[in-house]
Amino acid sequence: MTQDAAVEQQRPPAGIPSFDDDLHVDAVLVDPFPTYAKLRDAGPVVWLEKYGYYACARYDEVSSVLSDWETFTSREGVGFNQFFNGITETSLQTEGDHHDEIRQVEGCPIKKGPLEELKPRLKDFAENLVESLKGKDHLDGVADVAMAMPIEIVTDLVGVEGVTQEQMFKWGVAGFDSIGPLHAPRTQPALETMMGYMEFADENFPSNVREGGWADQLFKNGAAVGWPEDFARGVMNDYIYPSVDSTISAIGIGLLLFAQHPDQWDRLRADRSLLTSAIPEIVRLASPLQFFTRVATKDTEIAGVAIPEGSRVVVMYGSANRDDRKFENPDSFDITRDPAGHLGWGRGKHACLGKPLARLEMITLFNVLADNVERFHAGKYRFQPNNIIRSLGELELSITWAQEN
Amino acid sequence: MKIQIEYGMCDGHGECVIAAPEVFDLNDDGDEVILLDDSPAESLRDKVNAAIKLCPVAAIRVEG
Repeated sequence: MTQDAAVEQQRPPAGIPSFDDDLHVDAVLVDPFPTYAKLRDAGPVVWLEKYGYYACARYDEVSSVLSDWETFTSREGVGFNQFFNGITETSLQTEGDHHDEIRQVEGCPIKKGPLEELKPRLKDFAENLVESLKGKDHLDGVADVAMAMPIEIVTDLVGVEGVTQEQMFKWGVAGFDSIGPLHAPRTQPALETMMGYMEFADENFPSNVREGGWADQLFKNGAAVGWPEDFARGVMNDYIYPSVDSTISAIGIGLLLFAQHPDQWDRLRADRSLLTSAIPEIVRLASPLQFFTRVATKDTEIAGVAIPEGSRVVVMYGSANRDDRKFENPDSFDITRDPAGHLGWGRGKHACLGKPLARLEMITLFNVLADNVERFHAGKYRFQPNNIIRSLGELELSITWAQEN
Repeated sequence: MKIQIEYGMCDGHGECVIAAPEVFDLNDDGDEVILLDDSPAESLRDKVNAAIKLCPVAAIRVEG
């Protein structure tokens, strides 16, 4: 199927609930839940007039679309504009054996073995971070806590020389904004920022990557399976921005949730085996990535609704994770909830590449916090609009430290 | 049919557990698959095939 086949029809199809909502205005990006509830209640498939796309807001349909990559492909792009959707040097927007090969090469440093070696380093980092927080009266839960580990550790692991952490974060924000629709105010500037990144990458990779780092391994392992350098440079994108902002979002929202639910914090402190269900529960409620898209490769249907070949379908992770058809009291934070089944890391072939690392970062950090923190108190906080990522921009945080034994 | 898992590839996504809970489980740490039955009954073939299709890292192989 060509890109031309994915040209969106603009007229609402007959018999499908149709909405003129814009998902990419600030008010919806920071508080999407009333919009999600409205779309879920309208039916299993809705039509979004602003986009000319179908959308699935309920859990079952999002899950089944994500599970069937042959019918609902990522090959035509998973974003909301043709520039982002045209990027093909990524496992995110490839399928089949080609996808599997990219994923295997780029996944090397995020496997169980290398992560096992990383554990002591993450623990030291978390302990030093917590010690440094103890002298401060007022904290920003985002800048002082949530951003520290993903930015510092991941930037270092990827191993690119001459990139500041601030630059890495800016690329992260822009990388996700660049996925949005062209009508959204953040998209165009973000696409330009990412063009700047591409130029930087052309000049600096692989010449300025640290030996033994992720980037270095990627170029070497890519060459071993016959990738041209340009292709490996494109795949490197998968390390640069998805690895940082998504984890920052989850950690920040996790801090806020524990501040708002001290009973859950007490439970976690008393029983650390709950970390393996607490972290997925945070990711369910946070849903750092709110939505992506897929394209139908043939005339098909979703829940009995006809979907013509070439249609683009929005899959709404953030809405699916709040669907009361699937989750009991979906808006409540319960760290004992069954960790399986939520869509915060996606589903199927394109489930989050960095999940093992993100999960380890969060388990390590919250475990060390549980050793040291009796209570989090949240003051003012605000969400920072982004075309894909729902993340706190600021979180006033004060901490009651546990008494030293 | 005979199932083989490339444990070195597994990221513990647990997609296979959702698709075929009779055949796959996750360890207590939730970061690696446990194969409950390496020669499951023919009646489970569709579920095993679904697990293979869902695995993000193509870590599951089936022979026969």
